[in-house]
Amino acid sequence: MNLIREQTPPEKFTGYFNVLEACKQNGCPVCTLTEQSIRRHIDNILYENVNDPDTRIALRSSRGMCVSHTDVLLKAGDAFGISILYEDIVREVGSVMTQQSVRALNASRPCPVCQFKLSQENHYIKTFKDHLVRQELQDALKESSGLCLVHLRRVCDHLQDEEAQRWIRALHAEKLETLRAHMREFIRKHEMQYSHESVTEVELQSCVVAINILVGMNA
Amino acid sequence: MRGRNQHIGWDERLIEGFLSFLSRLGNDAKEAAKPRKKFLGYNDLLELLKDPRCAVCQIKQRSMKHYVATAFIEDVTDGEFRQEMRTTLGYCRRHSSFVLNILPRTLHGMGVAIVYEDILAQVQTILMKTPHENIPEQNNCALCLFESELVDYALQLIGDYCNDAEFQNAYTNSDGLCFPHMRSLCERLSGDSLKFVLNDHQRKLSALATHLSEFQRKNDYRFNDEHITEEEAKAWQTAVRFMAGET
Repeated sequence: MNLIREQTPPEKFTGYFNVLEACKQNGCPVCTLTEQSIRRHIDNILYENVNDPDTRIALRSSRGMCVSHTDVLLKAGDAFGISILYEDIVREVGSVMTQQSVRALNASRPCPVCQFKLSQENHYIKTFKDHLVRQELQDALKESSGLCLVHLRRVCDHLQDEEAQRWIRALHAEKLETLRAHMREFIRKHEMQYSHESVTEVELQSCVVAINILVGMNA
Repeated sequence: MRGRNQHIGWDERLIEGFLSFLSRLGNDAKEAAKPRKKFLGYNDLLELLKDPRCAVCQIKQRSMKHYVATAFIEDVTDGEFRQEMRTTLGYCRRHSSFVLNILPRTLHGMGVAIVYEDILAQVQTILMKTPHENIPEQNNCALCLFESELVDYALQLIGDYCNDAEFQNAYTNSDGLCFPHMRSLCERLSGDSLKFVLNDHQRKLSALATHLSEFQRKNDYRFNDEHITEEEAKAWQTAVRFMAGET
């Protein structure tokens, strides 16, 4: 496909190669990279920034991490680091309670990991947009599971070229057709007259993949 | 949303409490301030307080699990439900994760496949159209709406009994609510009820902070011969769960 050939893409850099690598894995490459970054970020907080004043202020103000990032935090499993961070938060909330003020209990900042996540997503979406003219990335995207709907929308919002938008949308429509075919097979094999046919692993996982594609997550 | 009451799958006692809550919405403040008659929903709440998890989170999760399971088994061929799922593009990220968690245990995969195949067909049609038509976005998640009604109900129930001695005793002996629900509860309370909840949670937080602090101290090589109690060992998880609540 000839995508805006006249435009020269920026130099290849680590982020670009990370995107290429992520395309080889299951699930949306932007989700994969963002989730990896979040895990690294939380590990980094726990191993290096537990005593960093800015990190502590941010977490105190946000009243800890949000529910979804709390799961990542608990999976990191650093009991000692987490106990230092959360003792601080718990003591802060306890002291606010003595003031008997409900309003003071509210968080004054959003979850710091959510903010980090947004910046990472923007970074990878920009990488996608900037390098989509490269045949190498187009081929990698064709071979991948494709972007989730959330990130596809954002990549399309950034693409100026109509031809590029048409190409990426058609590619994902094709991928959805394949997924739907697996789902239809899964449904068919649940019918009594075909129940002797075995359901393949891909068909079994098709519902999970469909949900992940719609909301943007790698289960 | 179609017949939410039909498939919310609550225990009858919870439905009774919910209907009573709805009927009371229009009453004046004086009427609402009267102590409520104790009913099965109240006893259910006392039972839930015996569990270390937040009672509101438990009510929410139990009912949502039932709601989702019933929707994907009984409502799959219901036109209104399917239209709603197509319009909203299924559930939001948080609730999709909830659905995926209960999928292998509670749900029949075929119902989910039928509903989501339908949604994907619609998305595919949009993708094949001109680039000028925006790719749709997930919005107005039905489970978010249902969740907020459940939380409202549960907090109203707790708020109504906050001055009751039996309830106060059960609440004091429990682990209390998670921080997000405790904060929402406090926003509804005033006077002695508010003071009771804040003081009780302050006492609980103080104990939790002590456990956390002891856990850290006993990890120091100078004190590592001292035994770490079970409460101290799990305090870090308790603190994280308390602050964030549950999905």
